[in-house]
Amino acid sequence: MILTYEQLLSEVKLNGLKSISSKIQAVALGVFEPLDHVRLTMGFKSLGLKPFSAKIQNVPLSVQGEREFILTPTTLSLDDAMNTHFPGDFIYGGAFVLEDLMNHKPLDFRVFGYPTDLMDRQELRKSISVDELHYGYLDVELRKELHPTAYVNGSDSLKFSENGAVKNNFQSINFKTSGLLQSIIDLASHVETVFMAGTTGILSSLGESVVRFSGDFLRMDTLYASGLSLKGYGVMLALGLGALIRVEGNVHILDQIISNEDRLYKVVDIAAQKELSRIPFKQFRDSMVVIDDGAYKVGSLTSLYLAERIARRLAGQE
Amino acid sequence: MADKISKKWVLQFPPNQVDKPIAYHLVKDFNLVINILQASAHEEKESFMIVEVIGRKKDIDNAFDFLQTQEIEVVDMEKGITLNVNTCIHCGLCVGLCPTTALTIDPKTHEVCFEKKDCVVCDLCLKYCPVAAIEMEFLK
Repeated sequence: MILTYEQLLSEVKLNGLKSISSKIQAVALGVFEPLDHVRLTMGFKSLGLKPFSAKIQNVPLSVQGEREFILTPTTLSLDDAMNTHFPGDFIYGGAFVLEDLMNHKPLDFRVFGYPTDLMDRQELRKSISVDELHYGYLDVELRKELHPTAYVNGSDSLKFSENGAVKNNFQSINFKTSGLLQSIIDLASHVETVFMAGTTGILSSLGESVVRFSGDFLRMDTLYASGLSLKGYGVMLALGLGALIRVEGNVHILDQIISNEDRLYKVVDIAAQKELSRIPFKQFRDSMVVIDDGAYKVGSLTSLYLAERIARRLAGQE
Repeated sequence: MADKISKKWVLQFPPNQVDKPIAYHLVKDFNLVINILQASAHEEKESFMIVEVIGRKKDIDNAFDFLQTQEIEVVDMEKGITLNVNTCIHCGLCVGLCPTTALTIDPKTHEVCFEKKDCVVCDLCLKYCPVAAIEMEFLK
């Protein structure tokens, strides 16, 4: 039997851990949220010149060797005048290039380089789509966050964080991680299958507090990836990740799965940079948080809807 | 003053009409008070302007007829917000920003739901939706 994390939690709550431990083979976890450390390495078969700089849709790329480029989702378009001096609308950036590539859209690609050592610098400009890439792999790095944080804003004006716009005068609370991400990191050594935006990835590195997954970008599904433009903050990529955690023979790992009631979030006033309280994750999931008798609406950038869909897909229920 | 009424119009200009002093004519020739709420002008594509006009009904009707003769499409409108379900990723950022309960998260499915009748068209969700899934619509 394979259960999603949520199904497991409700089953344990209803009948206790013992009732299920002998029957369960794996637990499926899914998340869909903005990720900070993502990079796409893409390569061409040949370019005909030795590159020293490159841009795609006017978003700068990092050049690696003779025909390989790296794109990060937070890189901004060079002609985004609104954001030259202060954070503005962030209409386009690396995350949107990634999304456009997944959608097989033709994109403007410019490379500057030298055809040979003795010839002048030249520009190679052409329209490319993901279909012309020789390879592309997406690396995602997850860092263990001992105290997941949610933000509230005590000032008079709207403030911005990686969690999006946080309303003024303590009117709302914003959070990012679904909590499940932490479970993936905690249990990474037991990961059997990694879901990366519609395709199967691999666990490429397992450290004390950092876990890296890598997946074939050319097979990723745009349904599970989305460029986000956070007004006043920046551009990020929301990605669907999932993991099938093997339980059979390792029943003890069920003890490491933390319930939504027990996983506590640090609530920080983003204006004063002061911790206000610690709140169970369950309240965040229920869209209303209570601090000192005051109830606050909760906003997030984490799609629990898509997270559960990924988990059900991994568990073979969808 | 009592016989004055107010209307909101969306004026849509073809590219060749962008440089016409329409606001001037509405004020000078039809004695209307105008409040430009939003405008976007492009020389190469269709432009629009959202105006609130205040004046006597007869003057407003005459101004309406005048605009028609200038190849400007006038849409008498009410504003409304729509949620594009195909673009929405159900992240819920808008739920925390919504001052009413028009935007909520379904506690069972965690889908973002939009209740149009509770919306006060404050535009907060429109400005901050990270995937631009919330759009403004103009109702005739």
